[in-house]
Amino acid sequence: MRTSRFTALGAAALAALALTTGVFAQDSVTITLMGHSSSPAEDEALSASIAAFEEAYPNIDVDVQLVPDFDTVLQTAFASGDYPEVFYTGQSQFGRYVNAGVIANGSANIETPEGFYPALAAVYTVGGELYCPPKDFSNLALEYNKDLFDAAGVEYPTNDWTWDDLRAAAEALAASGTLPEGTVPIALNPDIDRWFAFYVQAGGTFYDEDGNFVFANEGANYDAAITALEFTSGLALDGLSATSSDLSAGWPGEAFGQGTAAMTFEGNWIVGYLADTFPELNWGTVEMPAGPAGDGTLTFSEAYCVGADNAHPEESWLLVNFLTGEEGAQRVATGGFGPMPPREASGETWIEAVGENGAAYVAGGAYAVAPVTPSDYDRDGLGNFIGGVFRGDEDPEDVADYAGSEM
Amino acid sequence: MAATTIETVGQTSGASRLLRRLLAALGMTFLILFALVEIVPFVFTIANSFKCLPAINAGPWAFIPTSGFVECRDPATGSAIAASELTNGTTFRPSLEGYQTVVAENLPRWFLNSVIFAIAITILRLITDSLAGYALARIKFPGNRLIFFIILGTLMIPGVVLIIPRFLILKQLGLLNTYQGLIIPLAADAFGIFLMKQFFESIPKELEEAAEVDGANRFVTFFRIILPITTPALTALTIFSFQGQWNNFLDVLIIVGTDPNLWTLTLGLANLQGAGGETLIWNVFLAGAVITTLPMAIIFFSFQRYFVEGVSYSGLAGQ
Amino acid sequence: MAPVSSTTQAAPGGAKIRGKTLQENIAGWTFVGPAMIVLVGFLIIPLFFAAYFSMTDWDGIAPLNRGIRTEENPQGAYAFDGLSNYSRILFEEGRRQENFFVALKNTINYAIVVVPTQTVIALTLAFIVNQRWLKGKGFFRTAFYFPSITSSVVISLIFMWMFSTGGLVNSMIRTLFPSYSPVTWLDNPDGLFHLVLNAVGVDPSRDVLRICDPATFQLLGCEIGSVRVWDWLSGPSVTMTTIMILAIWTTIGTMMVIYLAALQNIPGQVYEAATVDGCSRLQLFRFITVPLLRPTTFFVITVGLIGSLQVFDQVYVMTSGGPANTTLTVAYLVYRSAFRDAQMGLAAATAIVLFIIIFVFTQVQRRITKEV
Repeated sequence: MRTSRFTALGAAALAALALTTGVFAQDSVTITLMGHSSSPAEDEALSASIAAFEEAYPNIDVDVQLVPDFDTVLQTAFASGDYPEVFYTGQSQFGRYVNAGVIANGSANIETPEGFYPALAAVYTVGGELYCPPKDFSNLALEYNKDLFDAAGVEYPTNDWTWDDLRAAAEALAASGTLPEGTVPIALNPDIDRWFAFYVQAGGTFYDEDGNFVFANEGANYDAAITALEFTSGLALDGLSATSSDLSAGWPGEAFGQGTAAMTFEGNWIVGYLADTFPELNWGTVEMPAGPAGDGTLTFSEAYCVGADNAHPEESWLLVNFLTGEEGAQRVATGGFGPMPPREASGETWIEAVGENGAAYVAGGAYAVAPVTPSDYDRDGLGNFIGGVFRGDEDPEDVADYAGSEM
Repeated sequence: MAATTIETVGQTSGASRLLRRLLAALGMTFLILFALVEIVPFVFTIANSFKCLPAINAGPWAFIPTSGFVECRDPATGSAIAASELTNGTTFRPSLEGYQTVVAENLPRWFLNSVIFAIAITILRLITDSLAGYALARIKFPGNRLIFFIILGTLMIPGVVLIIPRFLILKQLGLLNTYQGLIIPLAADAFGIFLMKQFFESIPKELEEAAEVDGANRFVTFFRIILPITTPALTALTIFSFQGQWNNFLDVLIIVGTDPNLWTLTLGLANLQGAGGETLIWNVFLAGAVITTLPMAIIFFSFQRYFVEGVSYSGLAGQ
Repeated sequence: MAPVSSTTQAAPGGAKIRGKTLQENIAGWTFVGPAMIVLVGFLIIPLFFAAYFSMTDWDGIAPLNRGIRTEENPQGAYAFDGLSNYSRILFEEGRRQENFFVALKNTINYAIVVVPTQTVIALTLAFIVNQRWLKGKGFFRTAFYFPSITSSVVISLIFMWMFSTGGLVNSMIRTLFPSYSPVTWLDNPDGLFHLVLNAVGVDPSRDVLRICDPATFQLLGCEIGSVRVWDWLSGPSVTMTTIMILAIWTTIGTMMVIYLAALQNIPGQVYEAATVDGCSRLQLFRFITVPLLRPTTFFVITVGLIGSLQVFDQVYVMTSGGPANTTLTVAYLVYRSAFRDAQMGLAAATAIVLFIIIFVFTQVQRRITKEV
């Protein structure tokens, strides 16, 4: 009686085991990838990549969720503890998510950690370990309007321009009298990222060796912050630059497209925008001008991160590696979308896809720095004060003091 | 009804008639001026929604379409057509590109969801809000004042701070990504209750007292006597509620944001707008704005005649 | 209802009144029941959550199911922080306090201007539209209401376009006054009183204002709540004024519809009776219309006040609080702390303080309008 009961139990257990393994073999795992919508072409390319992945791994289903107001939705999901296996992470969010412990460490799982642009990899590296492989990125460069330069008889900008060259060209453009009324040499907004860009060119750094945020805090950084602000606000105060709102545009790229500014400093997102919105514009790009401390530009990026509370980590990493490996980067490059592929090897392919204006952005990748602020840094609050310097209402020192003081 | 009296009352002398004319002219001017201020932006919205992107940037002022729709892109090369060919002074060559982009998305589904969602919530609110509003205005029961304060208090909570707690509750109830999840939390609202309460208070008590003498209980009084004479208020509530839910973004985003099949128009269009990073694709955005606004305009236009009906009812009820 | 009515019939005298009261109680609770379930479930309980978070250091990201952070559970999502978030906003000198008081100042400025303006315009419009002699009532009603129909995001973007420096508004003013130099509506932090003083030749220069010395009349440079006295007094900035215009422009339609419905709700026979008693038109308006509209006015002002003190959408779309934090409102600050700065505890505390401020304001307003 007893034995038979045990046998029956054992048999049942065996059967159950067989059933489960059978189920495992046939049934598929579903992982969720949450992100935000990009350009229609990018969205399509993503679905194509996902389809290719699902074909390569038939037992993994990927549920792609592209949601509006992505950061809010993702944060809400984090808070509830039930969040996607894989998600996009912007460089400004990364630190917050790591602090909150919702991102898995990728150092043991990223197949090809070499080959990313160093500045990109650095953004997503904590304590020497790469958490998330970068997805794609953009750099700032100098865009110029060839027709306005030709009309004024001023030489086109070059890749080895310095601040002095920039200012001299702006003065020459203004003095030439050929700029139409309401057109200025430079469209430049008093925003925090443009300050950061010139700060880097003036020799400033964002983090010290211990990982403390040291923007404008003291010594060389403090001086660099003031030098940068003095230079950019000087352009504005001397009438050589104007803000996009002064030029009746939503952002400097729009003013540049409308031909009300001969130069501006935007990232590669402007390439597709100008082609679509201002097809007539005759324009070129060069790298950002070098400041007192040499070359410098900013990089803005996103990465694919894998969630820490995750029932399917293996499958998640398979997907992320598929999307960000060398082939994945090559797919981004040939698409020729706004953002650039994260791997240096694919830079040339991207330039071929978007045309020669892409070269200056790719070149910036060699020395770009990511302007990542600490998780509770009051970016908006600080950004709100820079405009005062551009109008001459505030001293650069005061704003630098404010920025360098503890938030 | 003040209007009636102004017309009928008063043994008018010449001077007062002149004064009245003057006042009327003044009122008319005021009205027309404000109507213009309110309408002009929409003229430009509609005009620009029919333009190619380069044309919007080159000449946002142009508002007179010239004959024939054009393509915004060269069919051979796929590159955008230059603004100089598309707009000139006050005229522009219209295009449907913005609308085509919007319609190419899952528009019918979003539209249907918006309709279901807004209608369901509006109907529920008409019931819950008017019942609660009536009780607070007219019925004396223990807790009446307290409940009114609580309801008023809920209006005072800054909504952004409730996003995460609400999400947690809906998750516990298993209502995320469902129609119920979208409808139940919004089936009553403090604004509507407060609105109805204030309306019921402005109705003279005599009407109900008469009914009570006839032996009718609260429910009968409410449905037979009170509700019919509050058509203007119910109309207002219908319009506010429908409009609020038609344009609701945050609740929809949090509750069904991850299931595109349950998205509403607002959410779908917000997702379209997200494309392109820093840049807003104006023609698509404005086309979306026109498409979402149009149904509301029609509803308002057809419902507004009910604003006048309440008066005739009240005349009858008083007899 | 059945048992109640039987009681009423069975018991004479006092019991009958008690039965009546019981019946009223049951009716009252049944009427408010459905609405209360929804409001308690999805507004009141979440509010308690928020109050709870306001006493923690939660960042709003860490999963809550990890529990409270302790020695044994270092992975926990949050730890109790007592009232320190409140103290950082209200009492501790520093950037958090400055942000809060700047936001509070802006919000109060906004409410003081917007609420009375929109109420008066809405009542006037409703009154005129309600006149019998008016032709094309439907058109006007729709025209005025139209802006309220459209989502606030769309409207805000259209306004940004209209108010850009070379935009529609500036070109129209320039057509009327050729000597007008364009105002940068969307990027001008100067307070209105500040501009008025400048216009009459007084320059409350920044350097003078930095000094705080009550003895030499330089009190304006002293700080209250980390904000200089002069900044408290210099009035809403030009950009804030633009947002106010937008708010008034969108809201008067809604308010007008409410007033219109209220005017229509006044039974005709009330006027007829008064007319028979020989009231003049002015008396009718003064003694019949205005008192009968009092509940509506109370409603319009209360809702307007609460809405103004929570202004968020326009700031979110148009300015993100800039320039120089002059359009930073408390509700936007809550959002910024919660979803940008990863400071949910602080955000919740700010929200609770705002809640209390709104409550106080509406109580004061109740006293003033003497309702109930």
